[in-house]
Amino acid sequence: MSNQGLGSYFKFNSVNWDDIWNATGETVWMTVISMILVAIFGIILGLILFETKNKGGFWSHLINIVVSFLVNIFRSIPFIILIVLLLPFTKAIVHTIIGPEAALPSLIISATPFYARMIEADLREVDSGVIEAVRSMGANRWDVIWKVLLPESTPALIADGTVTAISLISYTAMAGAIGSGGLGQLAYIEGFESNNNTVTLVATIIILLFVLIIQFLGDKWAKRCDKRNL
Amino acid sequence: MIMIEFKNVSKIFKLKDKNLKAVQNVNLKINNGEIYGIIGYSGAGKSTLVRMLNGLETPTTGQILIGKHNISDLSTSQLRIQRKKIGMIFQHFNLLWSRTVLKNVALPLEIAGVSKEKRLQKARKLLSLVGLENRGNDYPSELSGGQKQRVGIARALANDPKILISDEATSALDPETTDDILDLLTDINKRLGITIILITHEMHAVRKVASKVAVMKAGRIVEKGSLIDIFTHPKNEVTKQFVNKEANGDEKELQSTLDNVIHSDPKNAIIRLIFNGSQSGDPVVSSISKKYQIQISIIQGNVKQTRNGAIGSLIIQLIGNHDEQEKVIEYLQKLQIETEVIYHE
Ligand SMILES: Nc1ncnc2c1ncn2[C@@H]1O[C@H](COP(=O)(O)OP(=O)(O)O)[C@@H](O)[C@H]1O
Ligand SMILES: [Mg+2]
Repeated sequence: MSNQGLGSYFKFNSVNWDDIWNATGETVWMTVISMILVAIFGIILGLILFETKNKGGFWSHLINIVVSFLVNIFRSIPFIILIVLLLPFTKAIVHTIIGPEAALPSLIISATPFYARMIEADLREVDSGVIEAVRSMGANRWDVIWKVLLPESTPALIADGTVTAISLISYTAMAGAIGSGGLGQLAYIEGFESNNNTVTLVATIIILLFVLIIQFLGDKWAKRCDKRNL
Repeated sequence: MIMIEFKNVSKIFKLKDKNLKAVQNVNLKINNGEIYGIIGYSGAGKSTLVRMLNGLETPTTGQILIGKHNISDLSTSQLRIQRKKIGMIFQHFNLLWSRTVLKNVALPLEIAGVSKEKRLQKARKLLSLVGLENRGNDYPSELSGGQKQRVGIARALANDPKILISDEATSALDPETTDDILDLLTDINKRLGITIILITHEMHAVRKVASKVAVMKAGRIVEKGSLIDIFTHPKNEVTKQFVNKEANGDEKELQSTLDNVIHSDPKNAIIRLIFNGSQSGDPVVSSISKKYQIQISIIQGNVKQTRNGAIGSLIIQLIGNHDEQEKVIEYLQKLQIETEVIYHE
């Protein structure tokens, strides 16, 4: 480990900017695609958890137990171990274990339970009086989901989606360690293994910018949807 | 014509450690077009009773008839159709904050599958019925409590219901707004002929709009009848509490006045008379002083309007000797005037 003076952070002529932009593109791609799928699966699972909890009935109870169990298991496995654990599964569905596509299954499987639990809690916050009022109008279960549960929890869903998206960014960086591409891999291969601290610094700054932008946009969007305190 | 009938209805909630009897052996008939008040303290079972009416709860035993339909015979989808014929308003309004006022009012029609154009048109009409035609594009959070309840009322009327249930709809409002909303309900009852069930813990609301009233305590109806009867001849202890509270206004103030009077003049009895509009108070009082060796001092008197006439309340002190006081009390009781002895040596 030579070449470790502080000046090593600022040798910008040693940076291959094409590689940086490529890696940035891969990180964005992994985050966006996985977030879209996590949002869809998360909302579905969150609704299932909410709708089957304490509703009486054998099937509700069974579904709740099974889904809860799976969610708890996958939420508890550290991401870096989950990737390795899922290698055969990844290979079977995307036919490769390297590159951004190969990161998707692990990203989605690890972030969905996390988001689903938050969504369940968000739905629980919806005013039960409003649900009762809408049921008293003759609404069925789907009316309640589409017209009450989802619209009335939107700001919370967006805020928690923002948290989830930010976690996904850090997961994509970790996935870099086993060859997913993206800024994490660049920092690992170029920055760490080739001793190029400047690349590590640049990758860090770009990721930080992403996090800040997502947080900013998420906050704005959540606030815009919130008509509770006008 | 009978619109709603509860036949020996009970509701028991099975809790972990006990069975909670929320409603017990309720029998009640409500006529078409009537405003029926159901009064009781919190936890008496009022909400549970009306929730059974639109099938949000099912009775443990007994039957509920609406028109000719027995609610428990309806299938899930028939029940949803039945619910559309019953509008409901709530203490906390239960509007969707995520929708504009207009879209809140249109929601029941949206659920019923009415086309967008038609439902918005109807919603606008209903908003003008409740005096909020200019607020359709605002969100509920931009309205005052009274205005929110008006939106609630407009929403409850969207499906042209035959029955309107008001569950503590004025309990979160200040006295003036309460009266506005009660007037609106009376107006709707007259104009549209809708049967209204008014659930409340305030006698004031019942007194202003209802023509009949049932008093609930611990899941049971302990007393029911016409408003004037209940007011002028309350029998049950709970009913008396409600009536007195309403008749006397501020209880604490009255109590301290009474304490003062009793303290300075402990020999003379104090009684309360409640009479309806057709028996006025004055002739009774003057006849007492003519017939008996008694002078009368009025401590408090007032008259309250109901839909079916006035109700008066008079608190008087009987000044004279003990035997004469007794005779006056007997006389009043014979006259069938509701007489309560507040203080007697
Ligand atoms: N879903 C429920 N499960 C268990 N207990 C309930 C339920 N709903 C109401 N209760 C109980 O039934 C009783 C009557 O409640 P409620 O009908 O809400 O009274 P009110 O509307 O007169 O205040 C209360 O003791 C309440 O705690
Ligand atoms: Mg209640």
